[in-house]
Amino acid sequence: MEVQLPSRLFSNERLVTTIGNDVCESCSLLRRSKYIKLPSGELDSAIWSSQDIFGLSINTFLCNTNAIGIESHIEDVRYVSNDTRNLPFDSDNQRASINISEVLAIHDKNIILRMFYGKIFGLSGYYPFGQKGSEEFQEYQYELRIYYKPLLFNPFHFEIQVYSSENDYTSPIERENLKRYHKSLGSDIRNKILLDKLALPL
Amino acid sequence: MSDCQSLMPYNSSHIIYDHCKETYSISVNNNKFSTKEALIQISDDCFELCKGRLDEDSDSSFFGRSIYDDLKYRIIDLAVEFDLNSFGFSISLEPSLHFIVRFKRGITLFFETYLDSENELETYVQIYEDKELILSIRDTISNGLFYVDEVLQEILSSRTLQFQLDH
Repeated sequence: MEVQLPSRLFSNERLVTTIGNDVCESCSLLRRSKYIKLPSGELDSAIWSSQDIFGLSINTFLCNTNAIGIESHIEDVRYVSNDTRNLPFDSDNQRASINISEVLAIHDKNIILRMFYGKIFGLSGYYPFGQKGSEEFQEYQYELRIYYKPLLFNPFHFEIQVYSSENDYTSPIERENLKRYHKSLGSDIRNKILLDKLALPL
Repeated sequence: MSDCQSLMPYNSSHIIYDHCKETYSISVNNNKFSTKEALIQISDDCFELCKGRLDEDSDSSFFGRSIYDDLKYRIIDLAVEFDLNSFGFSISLEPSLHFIVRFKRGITLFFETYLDSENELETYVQIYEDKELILSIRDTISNGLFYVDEVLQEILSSRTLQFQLDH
């Protein structure tokens, strides 16, 4: 269902600077998900597909929006604008000639998962290359980093990136360049989330 | 249960007498995750909720279902030998069959089999003791189960107690 994008989701320099400066360890990270509540009491492994974690889009929900004068709602993560102008936000120049009341977005009804910035940033572990016992076997180390990536129609947008010892942590692993053995990496990250229930449905 | 064995209910437990080996086994059932039947029920309920994630293509769906039907019994047979805190199953978006079993003493097992009808099935197994990863392997289903059993036997006591009769 397409609806009008709320004007509070139209980025501007002041808003983006405030969010970037204010994000902290106790801030929430929100993600839409095809998650199902299961009778087992355990979390559904479909919090995201294992390849989604490489550049996972999330929204932040700041702890003190009232104090810093920002209007923000948990439900904001439900708005998905497929407008071609919804590019990374750089400056207020991008706002020129846009009538925000004409910008449409999908209002996604999927479950919202909540994580905490401080629990996800720096999450690290190991993943195998090759089978244990074989000559080619080795273990790589990874860690998660979170970057602020405001979009023109979503000032709360962040991304989770996966860095690895495979390339000495020089650049994140790209979703488009995943190899078969990276399945284990995606699974390891997801298992760590499930182990400590670091993502919970709202 | 073999022809040698007879079952005697005792409170919430069962005493199994093996006529051939002349042994008694006590199977202790002290929570809802302690019987094989209960775990199968939980697993199947979860499967029903998630099965739409298997490809809509009927062959792939049949493939996933048949792997699940075999794997659930093998994992449950193994898990039920130990004291469990919880048991869960879901189908991930890849799709893969994903079991999570939490045992007493902070032991957690993840057993994930990636569904791929064109290549040999791969399974990724992890066992955590609290937050410490103590087993992590990518292998076949059978090898994965073998290593899981080996590790669990080493760090957890089986809840099937064996007694040898004296003569």
